[in-house]
Amino acid sequence: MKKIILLSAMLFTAAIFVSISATEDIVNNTIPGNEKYVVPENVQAIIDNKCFDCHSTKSKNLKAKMKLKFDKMAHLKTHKLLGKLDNIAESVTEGDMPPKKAIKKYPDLKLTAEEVKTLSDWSNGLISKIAGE
Amino acid sequence: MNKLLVALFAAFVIIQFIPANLPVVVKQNKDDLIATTDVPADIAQKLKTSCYDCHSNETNYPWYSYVAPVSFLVSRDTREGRRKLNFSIWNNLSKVKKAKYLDNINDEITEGEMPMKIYTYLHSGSKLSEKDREAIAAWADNYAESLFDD
Repeated sequence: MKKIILLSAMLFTAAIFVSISATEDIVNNTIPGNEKYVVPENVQAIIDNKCFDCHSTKSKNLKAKMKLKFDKMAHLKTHKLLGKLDNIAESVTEGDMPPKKAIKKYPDLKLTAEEVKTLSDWSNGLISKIAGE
Repeated sequence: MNKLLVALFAAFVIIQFIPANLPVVVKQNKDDLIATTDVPADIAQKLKTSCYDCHSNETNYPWYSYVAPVSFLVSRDTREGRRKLNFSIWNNLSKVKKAKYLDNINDEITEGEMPMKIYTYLHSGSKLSEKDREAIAAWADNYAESLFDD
């Protein structure tokens, strides 16, 4: 009986540690493998709502998926990551993304001026941090 | 029927007077990619024949690109091409911009989106084989990687 209590206490403690480290991962949004790619929560929210459906591994839009997968960004080499980040900043600033066709069909996808600024500031900030340019 | 032909011909003659504003050709560009960067000769040659007409200031306009309405299309495509990527100003770009363009080149070439179909149709020598595409994509990726220390 004592053993069982001890064992469950150990399991309970282990579970707490696991859940704490999991929460930390979500809070920092850094993915093991590339500490340079940091996504704050407000940026992640915009990506999730307005970009992720096409630009992720599970997307059915092959062209969009080939160009950019947000769930793979942290695994890119520096030159690729910088290239993608600069494309993100440019395409949202120039209003090329999300595509006009997609916005026509799903008006909610349109980025507000504030969201455009948040995304481009984030991309450009990361670029300066990573490339020093 | 005759009237229609005459009308069409008249329209054809009239549109010749609308300026097409073909982007200006500059043959020597001191910041050109190939002039300033160590691009392997076979890649440089492919870029020249398949990309440079729209993506540099060195455009070779064929005779028909001076005839409206073709001139309007050539003018638009060349202008748009240079705006998106211009190899003539390459050396002026920051490393990050170069990385972006090289990443885009990689995507477009691998996907087969460039050169545009209408261009390869009219310029038979500009068509890229699968092997050419692989070589250009690999060059773009290696070059971009060499710009940064990972």
